[in-house]
Amino acid sequence: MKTQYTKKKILKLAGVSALTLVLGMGVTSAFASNESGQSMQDKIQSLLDKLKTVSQHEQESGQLIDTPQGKVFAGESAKKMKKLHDETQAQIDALVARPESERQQAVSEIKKFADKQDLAVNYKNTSKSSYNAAVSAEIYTTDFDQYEVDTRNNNIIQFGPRPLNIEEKSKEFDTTPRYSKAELETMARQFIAKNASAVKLEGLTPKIGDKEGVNYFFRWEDTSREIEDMHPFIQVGFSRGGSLLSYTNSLGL
Amino acid sequence: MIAMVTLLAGGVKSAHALSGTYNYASSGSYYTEYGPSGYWHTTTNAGYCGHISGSCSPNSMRWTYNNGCFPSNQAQWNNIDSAQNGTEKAFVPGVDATTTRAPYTMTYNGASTHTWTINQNAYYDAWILVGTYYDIRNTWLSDATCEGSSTKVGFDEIRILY
Repeated sequence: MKTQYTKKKILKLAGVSALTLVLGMGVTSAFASNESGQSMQDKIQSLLDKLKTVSQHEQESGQLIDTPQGKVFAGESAKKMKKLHDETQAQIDALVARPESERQQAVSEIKKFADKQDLAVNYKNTSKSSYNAAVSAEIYTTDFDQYEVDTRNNNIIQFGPRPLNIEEKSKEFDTTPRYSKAELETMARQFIAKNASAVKLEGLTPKIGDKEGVNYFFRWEDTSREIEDMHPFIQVGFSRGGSLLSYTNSLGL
Repeated sequence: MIAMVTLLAGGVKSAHALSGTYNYASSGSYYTEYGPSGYWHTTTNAGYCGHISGSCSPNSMRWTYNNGCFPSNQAQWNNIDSAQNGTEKAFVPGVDATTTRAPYTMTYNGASTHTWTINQNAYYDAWILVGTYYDIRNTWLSDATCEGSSTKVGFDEIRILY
């Protein structure tokens, strides 16, 4: 039974479709199209076409069930199509990814950031940055976390809890009321000085927020410019017990 | 230079190739809510359009309290069908998003599904990269967080990059 905590507010839908398309120079150019790029695009399309053909056949003759999300694969069909999808994505990623030898630098940066030289770092895929689609970024995961790394310089763009499979347990944070907001801000400044030493906070606009007085987020924005409709920023989140929650640095994008 | 275009297609599904960044808000014809209306709440001047971007609408986000392990309130972002790879991200608002297990489900690749959780309590006005999938069709988020304490599930922008 769900508990109602506050009075209902009347929903007023905006009079627009609420789908926005951001168009920008280079938005689709994270994987540049040149002579070899064109060939790469052809290979990618060929892989996706094969996936589509198998998927269509499976939808016609495989196991499907009705769910709130619509008619979806079930049983062996679900396993088979997930496997094929993941394999196809891995093949596509192999076409666009940096060589593993170059990615080692990113792994080193992650270990340095985490201050754990024996950290098991897994490369996931190459994507577009969360804050600038024109910038190619690599995604790495560890036991509970996800790192987004700028492929141009191996700088960490974002760190925080990774999306978990539904059966996985969430990472625990220390929420003991140990540090004041001022103490946590000092920790955030020290963290930035250590991990993003080139960033000068003096020229940025501070914005401090919290979630229910338990988790605090210290953010500094460069309000002089925007990337994809958002001010570039650096942000560090700490729980009141001193656990590092998440970190973002989009200033270099 | 970045231009922002509002599409007034009224939720029409399309099979043509897409290019660019598509933001799906927590309102409008690409978004549908389910469950008792009394449990849905609106916070204005919050979320991606209400607090971060000055070029989109609405200037608010939606949220509901968690509901044990079974969904009471949930919402669907009805993404435009396109037979191509898309990279999905979810925006976590700075307020009214305190669950550590926000359960999302995506349909992709014709009829495949993927369910995952995001710790909304550890992020603040930030995009979380979910992954790259073929033919993303819709994304759901529910209040079935399976948490023992009362938390808030924030419903805001879903972004797909093509």
